[in-house]
Amino acid sequence: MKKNLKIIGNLFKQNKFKNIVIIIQIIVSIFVLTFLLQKIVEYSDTSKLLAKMDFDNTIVFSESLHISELLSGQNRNEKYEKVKEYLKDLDGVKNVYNTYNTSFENNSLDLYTFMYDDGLIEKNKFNLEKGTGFNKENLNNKEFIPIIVSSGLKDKYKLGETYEFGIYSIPEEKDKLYKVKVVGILKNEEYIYVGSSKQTTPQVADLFLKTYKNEEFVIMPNRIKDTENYNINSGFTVELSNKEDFVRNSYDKVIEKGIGRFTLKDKYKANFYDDLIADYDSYIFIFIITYIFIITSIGGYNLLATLNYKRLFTIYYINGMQWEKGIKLVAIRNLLLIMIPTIIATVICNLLIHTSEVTGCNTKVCIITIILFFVVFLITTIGTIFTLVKTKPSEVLKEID
Amino acid sequence: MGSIKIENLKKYYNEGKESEVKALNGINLNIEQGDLCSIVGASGSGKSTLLYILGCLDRQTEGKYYLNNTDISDLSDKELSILRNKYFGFILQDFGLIEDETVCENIYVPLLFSKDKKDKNIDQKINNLLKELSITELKNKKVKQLSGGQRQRVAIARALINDPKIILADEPTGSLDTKNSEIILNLLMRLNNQGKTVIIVTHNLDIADRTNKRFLMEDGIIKEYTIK
Repeated sequence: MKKNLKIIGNLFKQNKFKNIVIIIQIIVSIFVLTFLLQKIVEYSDTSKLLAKMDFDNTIVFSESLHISELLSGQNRNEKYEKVKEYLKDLDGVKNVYNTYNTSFENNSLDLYTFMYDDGLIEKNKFNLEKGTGFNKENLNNKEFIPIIVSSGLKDKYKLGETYEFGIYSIPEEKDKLYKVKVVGILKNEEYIYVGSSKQTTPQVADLFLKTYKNEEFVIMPNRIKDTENYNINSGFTVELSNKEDFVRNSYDKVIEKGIGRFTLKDKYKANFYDDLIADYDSYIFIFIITYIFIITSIGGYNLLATLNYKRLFTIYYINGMQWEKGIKLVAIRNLLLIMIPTIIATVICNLLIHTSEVTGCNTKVCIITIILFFVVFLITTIGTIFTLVKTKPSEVLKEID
Repeated sequence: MGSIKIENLKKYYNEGKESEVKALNGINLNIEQGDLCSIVGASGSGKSTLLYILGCLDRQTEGKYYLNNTDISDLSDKELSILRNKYFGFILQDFGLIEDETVCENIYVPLLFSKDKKDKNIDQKINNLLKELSITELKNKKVKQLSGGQRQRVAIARALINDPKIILADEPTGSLDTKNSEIILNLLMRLNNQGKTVIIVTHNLDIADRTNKRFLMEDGIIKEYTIK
């Protein structure tokens, strides 16, 4: 073992400059790939989530601050209920749900909160790390409101514990506290559907269907209906029973009433989805080109380094080394040279670029990067092995001699 | 230990093809332990090819090879590697040293592949070799800093570190001036006096004359065999 390590050390010594160049190539490539992968993974996750929401038969309205005649002279809560009733009566509509966005406070911590109608809770599958999530029992409980917290809050809010949340932004409600109980903790890096826009990443905000990655937030059923004028936004999700009827008879009515922006998949596709897909396709294209470039540059340079080993291995061969052993040791050298900098650079790069809002390091992006560079290692090593296997020591010896 | 016998040795390249080359075309020779031999011939006569096969660096196409009365013709690559390390020391015309490593590191190379237990006195052994070859002061110098004569002495030290029974030298003075050539030849003869079998490949008849067995090669066969 010691002798093999010494030989591998000699292999590294032989190509000091080329090794440094390869390591620099790896580090730079990882930075570029991490940036691209982060975008691709985000888009991919978002697309999967959109598919989960049965997008074809759902339309979504953005926050309805601009709703005109339906809202005049009434408080917000009642405005939203009125819009809801209006929508329910339209042709082709099966159900209407709300998602309310607001801020609760607990121990001076401002908690971004999504409040779902019960019907939307049933439609939404929350992937939990711990806990049972919402069920009939806790949804019907009169003593507390069940909440699910994001992974970013799991150290602050423990499963099964109860807390008191208040709405301090409303002066009248300042002293009123709501008892909440943690029934679930969302999985790390999980997206959830929030049904209205929020200004985070511009690309996803453009979607109208907002998917919310695992920052610090709370999800609860909507139990706060009676209070007036609190700082609350709403998004409407409309489940369609008959898309053709809705489009034919109801679509224009919704527009006339000024019920904010809306999205049918076709309209969404026409206005935004194609742009999203174009962005996604562009990222994939750039990614593929970049990866091919990485393979050829690292692989090519590594092959140059390998050619230097022919003479060294022939000297070793003369002194008792099996040629196959040399090939194995070169493969080990390649593995160390490529994978150690890859793993270190991947972790550091993810932390610097902040690919995960929760931990700083997106595990999926890290794993994909490491696998991609393992493939680079395999391809370059196959090239190396092929070159060395074809070499006859006696022919190299004639060159030396 | 240190005897070689080959029977009807043949080495062909590209066998069966139009470009077939018969580098060795039926060689028979007998080298006893302690012999000082030379294999002489013009360029392309097959002498280096023969040397490589003798040193287990290449395999014959046909024929038998007996090392210390044991047929090694069909040994595996692994077994041949062990033999190479244990029984042979090689000295090449172009020295065959690792330029960027020190003298000591070069001498140590055969020990990297030795199957024997680590010798606790190895440092002493290396120092003794350096002293014997008058290159003690060069121990930690890089090979690329050395002259031709010094490099060849380092190559000899490397060839001796495992105490081989047979020394194979391919044009050992080919890259040296007269003075250094003489030094190297005297070293080889001294090794022979110590009981080692020494086989020198050369095109220089003066060198061949100083050996006690001479094999003259031409077109892949031994044309003439002389014993002094």
